[in-house]
Amino acid sequence: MSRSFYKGFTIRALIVVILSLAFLFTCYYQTTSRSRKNEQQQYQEEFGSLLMATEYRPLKTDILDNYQDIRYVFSAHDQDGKLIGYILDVAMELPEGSIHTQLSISDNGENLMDFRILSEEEDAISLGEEELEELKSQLCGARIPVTVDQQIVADVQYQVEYDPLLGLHDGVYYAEAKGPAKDGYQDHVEIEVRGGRIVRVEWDAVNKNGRLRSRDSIDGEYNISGKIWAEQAYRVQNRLILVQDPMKLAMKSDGTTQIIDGVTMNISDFINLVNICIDNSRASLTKEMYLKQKENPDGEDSGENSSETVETTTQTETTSDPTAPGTLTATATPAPTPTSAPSQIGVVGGEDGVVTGDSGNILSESVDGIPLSEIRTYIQGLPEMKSQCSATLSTINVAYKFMREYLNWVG
Amino acid sequence: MKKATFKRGNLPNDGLDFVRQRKIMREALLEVCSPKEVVLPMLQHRGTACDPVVSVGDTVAIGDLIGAPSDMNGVPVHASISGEVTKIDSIRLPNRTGCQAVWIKNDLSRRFSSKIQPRKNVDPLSLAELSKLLWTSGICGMGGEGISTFYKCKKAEKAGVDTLLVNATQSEPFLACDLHHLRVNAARVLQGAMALGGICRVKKVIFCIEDLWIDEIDALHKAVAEYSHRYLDKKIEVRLFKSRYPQGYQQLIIKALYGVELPIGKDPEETVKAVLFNASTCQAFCDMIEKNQPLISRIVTISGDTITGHNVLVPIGTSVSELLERVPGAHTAQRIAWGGAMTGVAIKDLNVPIIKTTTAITIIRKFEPLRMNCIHCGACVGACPVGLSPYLINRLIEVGQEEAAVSESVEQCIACGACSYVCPSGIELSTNIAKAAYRARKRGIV
Amino acid sequence: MKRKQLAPHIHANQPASERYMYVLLALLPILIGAVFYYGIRVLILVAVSCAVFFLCDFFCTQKLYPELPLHVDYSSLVSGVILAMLVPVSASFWAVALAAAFSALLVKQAFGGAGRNIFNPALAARAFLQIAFPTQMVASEQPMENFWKIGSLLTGNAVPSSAFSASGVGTLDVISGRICGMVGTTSLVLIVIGALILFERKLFSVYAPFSYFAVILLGYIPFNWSGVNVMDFFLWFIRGGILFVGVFTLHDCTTVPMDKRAQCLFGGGAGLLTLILYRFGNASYAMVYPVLMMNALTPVFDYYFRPRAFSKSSWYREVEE
Repeated sequence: MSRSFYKGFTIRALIVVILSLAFLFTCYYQTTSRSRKNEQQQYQEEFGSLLMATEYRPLKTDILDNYQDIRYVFSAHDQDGKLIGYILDVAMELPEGSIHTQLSISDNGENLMDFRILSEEEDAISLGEEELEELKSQLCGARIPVTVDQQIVADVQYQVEYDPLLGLHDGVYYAEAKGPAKDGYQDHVEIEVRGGRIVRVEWDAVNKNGRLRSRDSIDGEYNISGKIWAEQAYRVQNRLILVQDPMKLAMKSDGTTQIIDGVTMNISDFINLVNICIDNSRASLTKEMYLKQKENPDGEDSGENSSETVETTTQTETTSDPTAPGTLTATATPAPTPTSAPSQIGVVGGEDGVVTGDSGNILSESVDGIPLSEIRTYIQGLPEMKSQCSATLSTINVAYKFMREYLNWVG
Repeated sequence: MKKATFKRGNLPNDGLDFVRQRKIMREALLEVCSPKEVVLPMLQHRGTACDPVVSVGDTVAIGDLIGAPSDMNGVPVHASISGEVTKIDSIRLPNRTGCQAVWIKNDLSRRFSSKIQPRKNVDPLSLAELSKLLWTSGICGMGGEGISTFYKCKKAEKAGVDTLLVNATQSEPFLACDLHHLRVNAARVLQGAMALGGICRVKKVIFCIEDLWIDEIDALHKAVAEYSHRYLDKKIEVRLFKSRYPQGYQQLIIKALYGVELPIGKDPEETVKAVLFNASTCQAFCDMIEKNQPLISRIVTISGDTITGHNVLVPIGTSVSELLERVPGAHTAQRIAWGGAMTGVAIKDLNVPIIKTTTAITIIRKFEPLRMNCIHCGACVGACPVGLSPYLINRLIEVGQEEAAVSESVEQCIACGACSYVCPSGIELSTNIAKAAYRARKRGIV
Repeated sequence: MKRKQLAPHIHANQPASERYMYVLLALLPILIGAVFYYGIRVLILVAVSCAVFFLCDFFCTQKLYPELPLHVDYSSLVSGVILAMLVPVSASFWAVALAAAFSALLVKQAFGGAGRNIFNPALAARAFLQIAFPTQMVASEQPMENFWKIGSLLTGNAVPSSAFSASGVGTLDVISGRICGMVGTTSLVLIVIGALILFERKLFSVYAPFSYFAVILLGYIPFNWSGVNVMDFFLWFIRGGILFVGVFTLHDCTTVPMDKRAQCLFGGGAGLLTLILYRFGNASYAMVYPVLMMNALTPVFDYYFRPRAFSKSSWYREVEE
């Protein structure tokens, strides 16, 4: 092929490329802005009744994978771009039937702003107009999570999760490591017991500059393999709240556990400290007393309590004291101590009798996987349509769980 | 007046710019070549060879008879330079003719024969005298055809033609020999044409010229305006043709002017009562009338794809090597064509003489077409002026089905080369088909 | 090898390889548009189909015609690019490669190689894909999803269903090509640019495509008497590949008849068949099969529409003389 051909070819090719790229980019900008407008219009039509906003952005996060029931989440923003709320679409299959709702939640994830039930299938749960109005009047604006007040409706079944440990006294209990660990942070664990159940667990560590390990891991200053430390600790904490017994965290001899998703790090420090907290709870050694003791290690009580520091785990194990069930063994496998055993024995720790929960209902420990302590709102509910109402509330609580997990990592 | 044209064929700016070359030649002066030696073949036309009438060692002058025709189909050969006859030997020309030839060495004295002298009285030449002049002038078709002009005139007269066509179309690329005559000697072309017309007893003379040669058209018009009063018994017309290759062929001129399709074997003299002569032929006859000078020289265009073309006045018989001595780049050229670019014969050995029908020497510097399979693009069908389907005929020839090729009218091929020119795959359609056409014609029509 | 130097000694300026390169140039804007809208995967599709076509052609030509000098015939590349432009971006690589091999070997080389094929190889490959892998040929991925997504080699892209796909395409979407469809067929303007390039290089014989489009335009109304929607027609014209096929398949010299009247008949017949297939059949079949069917008639058209030589008085050659 001749040179004139190459020249002509190249010139034409350049012209063509430039022309087509110019055309494509122009059209791209035109159509994108138009389609975005279209999209937002559509969203507004769809979600406007729930939460009117200028812009809806779909939320993309891995946490959604944990929640199969939530189909999609949008964050709603006003024209300045400020977040004004979230919109979730939840479709659940419950024993009562299948239900599909959409709800809008405030930006801090605490209040339910509005909701509606979509019934696409014939056997889906739906509410009549009046009932819907009634429920909405009860729910809109309420703090979530929400459940029906049980004193009024007594025959609603809730999920019973796990039995709590026996002998725990209510209050805030605290344990910290003797000194900084290898990474320079000194671990501490704090638990709150209410109604005999552990309802809150916090595990963190402070270094000599006063920085929290959780904060540093979020900021990227503290890195470990796997998920960031704060997230892993969070999962461990939550799992403990769920299962109540550190033994049930199934820590192996190398300090890791296989049964908590996303947790690959060594939790032996945590387990030790939690056991100390539990002992403290049994012994009603509140946080203030503990800290005071720590400052005066030669104090009267401290001697007793010092025996209950980290090393006491082995001691208690060897004494095989029934007061310390489910503690860690120094040898290979943790012996699964049945928590029910003490209850069979009946007496724990010589303290006052153990009752689980002071809400008065033995059956209800948690609602939809949310411990009762977290429930913020109790509504009347719909006495005639209990199952539909509870199904609706389940969807709301699922949304709450997601928001809780999501916001913990964002805010 | 509406421009005459025919369908298909190649358009002038199709790839190579035919026209630009010729415009450049306008400014070039005519070169006159003075060769050291000429070779005069005895068969320079289509017919029978002459017999040499000189022997080795004879001294000849310009215009002396060298070869006498042996029968009515012959055309006499005259010496184009003065000098000594060195050799009489057989020669083989690139157009596959083999004949005797006379070598004459130039003595550089430019002695003219005594017969060549200006005629005092041109007008009162009778038709019989004109006929005799034509017979002894040694003129044959100088556009490449090579039919003896005398023979043609006789045939035309017998057929009773009423129109004489002067072919000044010059449609073959790079050629400009006829154009030079028109530009400079339009009056003489006119005179020659009129004389030929008189011999053929025509009533109308039409000059056929392509519309791109504006200067030549102007010169022709001027000449016609100036001299038409002398030829009141004949009508003179100048017809423009749309520029297209191969307009210059006889079949296509007839098709363009009369709309009649002439198959091979049919003559325009019988069908449309017209006879066609080349413009250079007319000019040569005018030379004969005016000065009794036979055909001893002609204008040859030397051009090529990278060479600025120019016209050279060449004595007949000059060898190509002498002609190209002063042309730069001639010896490194890839192809040198004896003839035009489309229909010339490529020569390797440059010791080939220019004969009466050689219109040009074309020097092609680079030409290496690729060779692929036929892609059935249909370009050849669109180019063939005679309405053949070259791809089909070529394929039939390749597989040996010559009878089927005949049913596809292969014998109509006029060997213009238009199909090969456009073929994107570089297939040698024209040569294959022309050869098959020749074979078919020999078998069938002879 | 040395060739005898035969007349003519000059040659027109467009050898066949240049012709095909210019056709590739005409496909360039469409290729750019496809990459712009559908990402890098398009380039890999093009590379696969071109490579398979070229290799098959190359080796077969070497074996069949050893006397021809070694040269590259770009017609296989043209077929490869056209094939790649006709598939949706979620087609799997090996399906495209298989179709290209089938077409190059069975449809092109078995009939005599480049220039001797009756059927258009790109369309034949597309027809093969339509029959053998119909589910892959359903265009489901939206444009501008992800530029760098290459997807899996074997099974093609898994289509993520977004929660909300913007429904309702506007006219600007259709003109610019931002609609879901086969990779190369979507943009009107880019195809027109390509057609202009062909036209400028005199490779574009207008009779076949224009008669094709004319018949389709005129015939759409009677065929779809109930419910004539301009937008629907427009969408089918662009997205259903009619415009692309009309421009890039109906100009191909090898498979389209040579004579102008024959080309008009060819285009008209193809248009009629397209309308019938669209109305009574599947829209994706309406793209490839009409032209293939008319391709089968091309040799007939070529034979009966050849010009009349000077000696014959009419084109019924067998009758006269």
